Amino acid sequence: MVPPLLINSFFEDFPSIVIIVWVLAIVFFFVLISLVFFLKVVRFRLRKEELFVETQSKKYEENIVDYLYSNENSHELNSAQKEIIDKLKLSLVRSLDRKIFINTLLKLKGEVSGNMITVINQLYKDLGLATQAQSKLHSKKWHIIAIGIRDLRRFKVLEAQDEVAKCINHSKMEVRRQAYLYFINLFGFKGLDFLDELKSSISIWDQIGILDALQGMETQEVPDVRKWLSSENDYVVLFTLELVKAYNLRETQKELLLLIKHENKEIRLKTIRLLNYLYIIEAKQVLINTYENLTIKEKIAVFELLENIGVEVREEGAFVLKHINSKVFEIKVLALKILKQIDISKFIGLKNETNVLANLKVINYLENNP
Amino acid sequence: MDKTQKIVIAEDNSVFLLLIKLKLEKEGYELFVAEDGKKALELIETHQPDLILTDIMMDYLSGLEVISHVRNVLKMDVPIIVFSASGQEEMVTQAFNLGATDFMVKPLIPNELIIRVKRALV
Repeated sequence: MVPPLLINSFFEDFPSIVIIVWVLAIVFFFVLISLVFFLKVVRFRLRKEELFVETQSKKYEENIVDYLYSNENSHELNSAQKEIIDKLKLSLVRSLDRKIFINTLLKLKGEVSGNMITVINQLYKDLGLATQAQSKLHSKKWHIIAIGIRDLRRFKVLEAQDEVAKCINHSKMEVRRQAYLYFINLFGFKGLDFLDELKSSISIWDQIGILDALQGMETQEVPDVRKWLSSENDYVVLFTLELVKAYNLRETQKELLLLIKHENKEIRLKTIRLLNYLYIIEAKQVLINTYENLTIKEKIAVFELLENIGVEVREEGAFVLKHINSKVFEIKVLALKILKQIDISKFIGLKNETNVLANLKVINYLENNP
Repeated sequence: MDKTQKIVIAEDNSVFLLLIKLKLEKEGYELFVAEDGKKALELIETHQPDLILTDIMMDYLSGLEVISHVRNVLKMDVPIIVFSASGQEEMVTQAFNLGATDFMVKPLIPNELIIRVKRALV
């Protein structure tokens, strides 16, 4: 230890700025040493944990494979399997161990199919892991709830459906997403019944996820979706429109025609486009009758529908003619295109009637381009 | 006495590897396991197996490279069964072009694997 007197005499003749620099240098030196030590400790701990995970994974892999091969021919547990379960139960007290074990089970689940999957799911339940996952649903932390539902889905724990149903309207989107996927993955199209209870939104991403999960189902028997087209939740209606499109559900025609007058403009627009996609001829007159109350985007969609489905001169000809001078360029072009299809002489005659250069250019363009 | 038939398995999923290893050992085969393509080639060159089972996606060397090496460099006509995940159809075609004998899509049924192995070794 340097005596304080010696330190004082060392700094005696220095200006104060040099003393400050010295002090700072010493402080930083100690901070650096502490940081290096801290990082060493962190690295040591991480390596130790990594090694532990590796060792435990190997152990659990052996346990799982032993369990699976202990009794391949019967659904009843034999003594060897019971022994493995007891041993595992003692080992899975710590949450890290449970995490490693579940990851190992999932690693295997992704590679095998058939009866082995049923056995793996049963092992998950027999070890009490399903009960633990269910208890996560009561957590105050949303991410714990989401993890709980995810695990219940991955291991097909049907018994948890009532508890999961309570999370359908959870305030966090991630929890709701896991709940939707739980119902779809476990119950297929029947799982769509969660839409009856849904009061919150379904994001586009979730809609894609649900449709993707449904397309992977073995049975493709689509239930009656008409009730969801009249749901009070606009998100349910929007999602149902996606379902109608994905599965070409033309039997929903009556409900779709009613949606043209829906107060949500997104629903109206999507409905018009869907009517076009499904080629529903009856939509033409309904749309013409409500045309004036629609937004510009919807009006353009109406003309796209008329162009696609086709127009009868006697019935819709006058309507089309009325819009050839529309201020909206897209509508004008579509109206002229339709006119060219239904009455070419009238279309050609327009050249002499119009004195607006822009209109003439459009007519000339359409005349030369199919 | 019949000579024990040797199989090299190249698969990077350790638990799946263990599962099929035990299954095949129960059937009386001698197994050599590799967790990546590089090690698989070493085992193939050392042990001259009667059958090779290989995953397509692996570290260091892919299953396709393993097949190519076996057929073009080692000039071995040993049967090769390829494991592929769904969505890797193009790779399976490439595997057949390179000389694979059979393929199985994961997730697979272990008992079906045994049947295919037996058939390949007839």
